[in-house]
Order: sequence, then structure tokens, then C-alpha cells
Amino acid sequence: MKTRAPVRPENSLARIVHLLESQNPELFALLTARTERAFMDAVEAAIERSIRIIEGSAKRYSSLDERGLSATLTGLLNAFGFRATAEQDHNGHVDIIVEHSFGRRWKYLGECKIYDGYKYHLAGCIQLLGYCSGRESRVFVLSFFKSPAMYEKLLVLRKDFDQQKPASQDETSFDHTIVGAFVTTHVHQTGRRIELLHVGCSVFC
Amino acid sequence: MSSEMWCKWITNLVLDLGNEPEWASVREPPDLILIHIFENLQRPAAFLQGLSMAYETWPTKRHREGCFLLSAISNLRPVECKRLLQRNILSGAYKNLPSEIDIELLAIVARCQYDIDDEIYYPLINLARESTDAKRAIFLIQIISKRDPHGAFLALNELLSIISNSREEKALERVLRAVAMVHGTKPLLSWFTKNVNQLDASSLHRFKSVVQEILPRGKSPIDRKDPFGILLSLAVNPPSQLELEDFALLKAAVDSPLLRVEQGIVSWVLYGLCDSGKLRPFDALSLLLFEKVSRKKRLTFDDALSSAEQIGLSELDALMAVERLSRENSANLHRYYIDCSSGEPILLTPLEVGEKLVSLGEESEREEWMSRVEVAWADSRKKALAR
Repeated sequence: MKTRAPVRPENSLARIVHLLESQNPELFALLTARTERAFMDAVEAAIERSIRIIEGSAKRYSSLDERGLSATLTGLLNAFGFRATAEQDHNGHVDIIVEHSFGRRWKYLGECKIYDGYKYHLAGCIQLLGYCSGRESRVFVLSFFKSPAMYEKLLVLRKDFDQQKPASQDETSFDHTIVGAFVTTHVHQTGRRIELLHVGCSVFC
Repeated sequence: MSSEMWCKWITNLVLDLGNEPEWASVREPPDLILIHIFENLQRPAAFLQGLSMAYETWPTKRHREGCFLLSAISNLRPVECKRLLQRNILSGAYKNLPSEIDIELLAIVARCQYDIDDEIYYPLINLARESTDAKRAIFLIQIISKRDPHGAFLALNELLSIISNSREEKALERVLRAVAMVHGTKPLLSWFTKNVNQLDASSLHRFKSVVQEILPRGKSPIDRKDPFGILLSLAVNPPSQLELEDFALLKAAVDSPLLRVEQGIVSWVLYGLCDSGKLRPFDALSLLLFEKVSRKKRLTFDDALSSAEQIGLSELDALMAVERLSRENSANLHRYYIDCSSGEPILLTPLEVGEKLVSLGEESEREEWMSRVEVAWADSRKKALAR
């Protein structure tokens, strides 16, 4: 029987895992996540890390459009060990789908928008909720701010959501661990409650 | 009438027609008139013989009308026409023809119904090579294509010297259109990829406009289902930024049965694009990897690393570029895990990899196991397993 040559170190799983680990110290926790909650926590930690990277080089990213910013975010998420795809069809169209690298069937859907006031942001939220099948526990809308005072605007946005309770929002928003971010809860057409994470990233320079 | 009488009658008729300065605008050309006469004869044998005799005894100074005779013979007695051509070429009768005559000859041969053998082919090709106008070039394409249905690429190469010397503004355009009409876009792509460096900006512009016009139209590029068109449109109009859909298009083009024999062309176009300097480095890296996988059928991280190094990008870029190709709406590669820890390689699903990592509690055990799992990107399990 022909013996297969040994695996070259650079082509091994170990090599790739180490490379991803250098970008994401919590990679092993992600790979071994056993619950959807743990997976989502890992995604959100990665989104926060991505935001920091993008904000750190705001000048480089400020000229990008929504598509370019989505591609940047998915690139970073991939580098952290997720399988993130931009602009994939999902019940129509969605900006970002984040999946588990090792086959768990969890998905975290998201939308990237350049912030242009409450109405535009809400349109993105409605669009995203429309893509959901009802099985999702949480989805996210990441707003890129090309103008100053992001945190103030996020506060105003949160206030508007809590006052108007749009898109079948059934409760007052609550805080998220990412600075400035908040979560609203919406009743999906299937009757299930879906959480919507609103998060901001400043590319103003 | 006997053949001799027909010979005399035909000679006088064609000479008389030729003496009328306005004949071309008021009558049918003499060769068509001769064909109509033949069609109305009950016993045409003597007429046909007379026609050949008229050509053989034709006064050398009246070449132009002589070509009408040859054209009629070519239509009515193809084998006889071939014999006459061969004989005249061998005797050197066509060596010092006025330029308008060799066009007529080329046209007759381009329309002929017989096989064009070497005795006719090479002298005519040489005759056309010496000229510099597009009309000859178009006939030349038709003649070369007749001999070899796949010979249009050869024809274009032959024509390059003609076109480059041509002072005709639209020579290139006319030649390209003629080729596209006969053979479609495939030979255009072949020719373009081989000769792009020799084209000046104006020729390149004309090439683009012709190709854009020729490309089949559809709602979206993928609807065109013309793999050469897809490659051509990328080669002719390199996008400033490659999207995932561009890789899906390229994959569709490369998977087309028509292109399987043309790997060299695919590689050439893709390398050309990378070298064009118009692509972002990351796009160029993805494209290099795409080229590799279209040739090797599977990619390893080592492949990605060497390509990234070539472009001056990092290890992480290498991984991101290869992952970029593994999307349904991109090149649709899959990431495969091949467990080589026991004798026979076993493909593992991502879920199995995840579970194995959880089950191996000790870090050293995990490291040991992961070092014996190979990661490969391919579009099928079979290709992933083939080293």
C-alpha cells in the first residue's frame, strides 16, 4: 500500500490554528463553544475587537462605502477564526453572516450601515429583521459614523427607539458590554422575540 | 455549339462587358452572367469546357476580367478551378500581378468549394502577407480558417504583421470583426493574450470596442454563458476592485468544458491581470490563488503563503485570501480537513474536528493531533484528497 507523505507543518491544522490564535487569544474557547450563547458572546467580542482596529485606522477606512466596510469587517472576523461572509443571499439579502468555523450550525446575521440618522438606521433594522427566519436569537446592526459625536448620537438613537418602539419593539432597550451599544427586543412575524444589537464604530477623522 | 465556339463567344462577351466603363453599375458582374447562361443551357458540357479554354487563353493584360472567368469556373467547376489555380501558381503566372488582382484571387479561393492544398495555400498566404490592407487580411482569415477550422488563432498571428504595417484606420477593427464573425470570441482572446504587448494604445482601444460589441449580451455577465467573454471582459476592463461575484464568474468560466483545454490562456489572462498594476494587492493575491487552484485543483496553506510572499503580503492575508475563495458566491471552494494520523487519510467534517479538539483535553495531545491533520481547499472531496 502506498504510504501518504507526512503532513507538511505549514499545511497542518496546527499551523492555521496558531495563526488565528495570534489574532484572537480566545480562539480555543470559540472552537470548543458548546452553546449558541457562547458562540454569540465570542462573535460580539470579535466585533468589538474589529471596531477597535477599524477606529484605530479610521483614516484608512473613512473613504469606504457600506460594501467596503462590510468587507473589512468580514475580513477581520475571518482572521479571528470565524467564517464570515459579506453580501450573501439569505432570505433575500444580508450584509454579513457570521458562522462557526467548525460546523456548528449557529449563525449571527448583521448589517453594516453608514449612519445617517434615525430613519435610515431604522430602515436597516427593518430590513435585517425581514431577513430573519425567526430562529435567530440576536442580530446586529453596525453603524459607521463618518461625523463626530458618535456616542451622543447613539444615545439619541436609543432614546428614539425607546420612545417610538418601532418594528414591533416590545421592551425598553438594555445596555450591552460594548461601549455605547444597546440591545432592543422585537417580536418577529413568527412570534419569536429577536434581540437586535445596535453598535457604533467611528470612522470620523 | 462546340467548346471552341463557346470559348470565343465567352471571350468576346467578357471583353465587351469589360470595355463598357459603367458595366458594373448597370449589369450583373460577368461571372454571374456566365452562371445564369449556364443554368439555362440544356447541354452545358461544351459551355463549361469553353469557359475553361477562355480562361486558359485569356490575354494577360486583361487580368481583371480574367478573374471573373475564374470566379465562374470556381462556382461551376470547382475541381477544374483548383487545377487551373495550381497550374498557374506553379508556372509563376501570379507572381507579378497588379495588386487589385490578387484580392480577386484571394476572394475566389476564400469562397471556393474545394480543399485548399499546400500548392495553393502557401503562395497565396505569401502574396497576402506582402500587402498591408484589411480586405486582403479578411480573405486571408477565411482561407486559413477553411484549411483548419481551429486556425483562426493562426490567422490572427499571420495578420499581425499586416495590421501593424497598415495605414488603414480601421484595419484592425475590420480584421477582428471578420474573425469574430467566423469563429466567435475564443480566437480573439487567444490572440489578444499573446499580442497585447505589441498593441499600441489606439489599437488596444479599438480592440476593446470591437470585443465589447461582440460579447454576447445577457441580463448579467453569468447569463452570457460565454467563458471567453467573461475572461475577455476581465482582461480588457480590469476592475479596480474584485468582488466575490467576480470569482464566481471566473469559476464558471474555468469550469466550462470549452475552456478545459485552454488552461494556458486562463493562466495567462489571470497573470496578466495581476501584473496590470490595476488590482489591489489583496485582489491580486486572491487571483493568483484562483489561478493555482484552477491548475492544481487543490490549495494548501503553503500555496497561499508562497503567493502572498510573492506579492509582499502577510501570512494572515494569505489565509484571508484563500478563505475568500471558499464561499458559495465566490469560487465555491471548501475547506477540507484530512486526518493523516492513521495509515489511510480520512476526511473529517468541521464538526468532527471541533469535537475532536474538545475531546483532547491536554494541550500537547491537541498539538500532536493537529500537526497530523492537513488542511486543503478544493471544490470536491476527491480533489482534496489527491496530493
